[in-house]
Amino acid sequence: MKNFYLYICVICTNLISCVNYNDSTSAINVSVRLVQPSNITNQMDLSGKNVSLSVNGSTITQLTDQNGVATFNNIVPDVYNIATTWKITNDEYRNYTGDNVVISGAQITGTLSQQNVFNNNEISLPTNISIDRDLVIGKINASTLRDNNNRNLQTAKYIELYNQSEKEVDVSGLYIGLVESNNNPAYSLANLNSQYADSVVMLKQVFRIPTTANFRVAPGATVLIVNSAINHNANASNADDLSKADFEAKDASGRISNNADVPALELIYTTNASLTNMNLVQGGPCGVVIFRTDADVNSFGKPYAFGRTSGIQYLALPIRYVIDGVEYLKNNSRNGVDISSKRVLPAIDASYTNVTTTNGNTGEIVYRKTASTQNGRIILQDTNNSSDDFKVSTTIKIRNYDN
Amino acid sequence: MTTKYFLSIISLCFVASVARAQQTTNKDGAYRYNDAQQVWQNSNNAAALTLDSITNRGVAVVSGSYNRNEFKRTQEPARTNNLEIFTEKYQTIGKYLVGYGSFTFGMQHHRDRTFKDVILPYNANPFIVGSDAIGKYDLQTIDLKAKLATKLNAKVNYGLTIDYNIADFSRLKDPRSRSSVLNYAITPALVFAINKHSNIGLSGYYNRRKEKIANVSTVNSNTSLMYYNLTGLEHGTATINGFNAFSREWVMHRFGANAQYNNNSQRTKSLNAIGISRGNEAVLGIYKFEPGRYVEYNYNAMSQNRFIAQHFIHQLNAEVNYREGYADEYRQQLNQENDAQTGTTSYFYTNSFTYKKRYRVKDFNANIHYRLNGTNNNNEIIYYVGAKANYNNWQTKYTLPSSLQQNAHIGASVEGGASFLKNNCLWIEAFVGAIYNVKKQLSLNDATTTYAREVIAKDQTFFATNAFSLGASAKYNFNIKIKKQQMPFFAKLATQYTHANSHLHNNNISLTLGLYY
Repeated sequence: MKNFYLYICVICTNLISCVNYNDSTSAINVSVRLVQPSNITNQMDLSGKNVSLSVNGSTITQLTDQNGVATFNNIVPDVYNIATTWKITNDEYRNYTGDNVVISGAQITGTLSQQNVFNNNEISLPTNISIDRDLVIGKINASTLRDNNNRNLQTAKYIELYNQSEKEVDVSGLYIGLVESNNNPAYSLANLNSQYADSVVMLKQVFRIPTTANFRVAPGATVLIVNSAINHNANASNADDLSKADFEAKDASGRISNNADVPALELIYTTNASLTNMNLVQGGPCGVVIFRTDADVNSFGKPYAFGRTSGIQYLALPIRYVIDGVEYLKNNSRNGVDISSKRVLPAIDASYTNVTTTNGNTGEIVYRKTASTQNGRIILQDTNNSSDDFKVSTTIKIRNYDN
Repeated sequence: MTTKYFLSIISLCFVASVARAQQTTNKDGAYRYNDAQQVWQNSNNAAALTLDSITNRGVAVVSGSYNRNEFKRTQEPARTNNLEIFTEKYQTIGKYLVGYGSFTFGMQHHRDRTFKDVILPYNANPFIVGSDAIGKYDLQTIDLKAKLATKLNAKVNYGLTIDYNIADFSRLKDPRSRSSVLNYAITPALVFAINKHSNIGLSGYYNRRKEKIANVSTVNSNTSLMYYNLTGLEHGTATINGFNAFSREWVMHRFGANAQYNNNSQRTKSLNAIGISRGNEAVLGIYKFEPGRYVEYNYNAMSQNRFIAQHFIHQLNAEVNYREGYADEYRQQLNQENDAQTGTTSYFYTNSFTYKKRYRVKDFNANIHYRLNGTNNNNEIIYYVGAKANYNNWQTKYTLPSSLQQNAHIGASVEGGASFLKNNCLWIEAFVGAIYNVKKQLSLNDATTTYAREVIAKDQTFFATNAFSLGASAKYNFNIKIKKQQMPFFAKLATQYTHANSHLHNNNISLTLGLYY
């Protein structure tokens, strides 16, 4: 009986516990050290640069000290996107690189996406240098929306380019490439590094504005490239009137309404012969690049997916031809965007953009934010980081941007 | 199918009890008299069933009610239709056993609910989910309780309680969730007679509760509905169509122990008890994704006292309960492994980081209840008056970044009832009570989120509002002759009204039909 009571006391003692909060997780202090671009040999001034930590829509920003280190005190341990960006002038670019080709300045950007920041460590943030572009990708509409018969309207998708320079730009011969869109990347960033030394981007389709188009885009004007240049507003009240589009990817099968008055986009390469219009995957992945080259695009390498010797052949585009690119990834319902599915090199796009829905059936459009206005002309934000440069809307109209 | 099966069982119990009624007929006053004398029945020690006055008795009840609530928490329904079937029975089984059983079947239809798709209690596990779209819900519950005690002529008697509960909670509007609950507990117990007047009881229990949402579906395929995954106070994520491929289960394992001391004399009876328990609740999603886990400690002390005079039974009950819980929050990463040989891809989550004790809850509750019961020479209660007082103080806290919500209330009520007419067949009862907020605090890190504005801030207004309630009921006992026996039936009409000083009010009306057997 005594042992019985002893056992009861032991059990009760183990159950009795006032909660001890001394082991609770507490805030941490983190340092982020900027690393200057690898192709710059002269020492850069890394002091006074903004470094931001972002998570769940909240951003903390600190300036770097004379050593290029930004210190964040008392922050919540979490998975952060770490980013920095600043502009350099033509002279600074020439001093750093010895290169005279830049006429509009350049951007220094660095991004670490979904970085674990859980302890008081110093984090190195590598940066890249990118030349300011005249022609940028302004919008990607890869979403479907409900038509008046409550069916998915697939044909109102488009890509829009924007001239944010102060000069006319002739887009004749400009190539538009759609990045491969497998759920598991045909080539992950690690694969591109190991097999191609970070020199290519894999495309599933390549279109070209005809070289004879003689299409000149005024400063602040747009190039609207569509799959179906009709007035979709007649079918769906919140769809756009695309009948005045600049170029149309014609559908050879005849299933999609095309407009004979709108010039055709040339199909240069496709992984699927039956798809002659732009295969913009609703909800993503749906990356896009624009590039120029005098080389024969069809002479570029056409590898199979990494590790395979048969199946789909992609077009390996050397990134030195790329003018602008946007990584557009799928928003996974389970865990948000899977950063491991990134397939566009950071030199083209340091991060990614995405729509908020998981199925892309709500008419959401990703479009570039407005950075500033010069003499009435909108300058779109271009930090080579689509996480910062793009936003999502269901109401933004073609050829319009935020004022 | 399950509903019909249990209704069939109830029907059989009802018929069986009617067949035995000629040996165990009771009336309302006598039933109240037996209930008033019980002290051990209010503990979880089944072994002491024989120490309370055990008369073979039972009651079966069918009731329907309608609630209309303006003064409520945001996540509570504005209107509820309820149907409940309840029966209980005390029965001596042979020479050496005493048993008690109860069965409850409930059906509720909720209107205008939002932000909570689970039946998990408030101020507990913070990892709840829900939609911001107001919708209707159906809730079905089945509760079974069985107690068995030995009636040995020895110093030690043994007992066992089994509790079994299942529930189904379905949302009837997009996004349509369906939560299933399985909750059972096993409580072995013993009671040791120190002497003729004193007893010591010990009971321990294991409780497992699992609630699961297997998936969330929509009828309309083109939706842009937000779905909320919460982690504590206003913190969590809300994604459009975030219910796609969603599944989650909450599994609680709880161990507890209680000790009781009872002292009886010719006119007095008292039971003092203490209890402790620890519960650990895991939260699991698809591919074993874990947003976190919840741990809870409960401490309880209770005192039940009876003084039995010639024409009175004095009841004085007091209880103190303290609950403290915390939740660890996990940051997990989805991984995938491709098997080159089979071509299959497997997914699993690994833990990148644990926020220890990020969410905390404390809940203290103390109440005292005195009732004076007037009895007649037939051992029946014919009237009563009483008063209650209650103090409640709770706090929920989230750290990194810090948010805090705290409220404290005192409540008091007076009650009374009396029987009238021939054979005391008509009972009129009433109560009046009030609740008063004595402490309120809300400090959120981000008060601009939808959940902060639509739930927490509105709930804080609810908690900070004082209110009074009053209710009344009329219960008429009558006999119906069945198989040459007079069967004691009753019908009860009850209503309750609550008025808050925010000019919101609640109404409730219910009709109950029952049988004593």
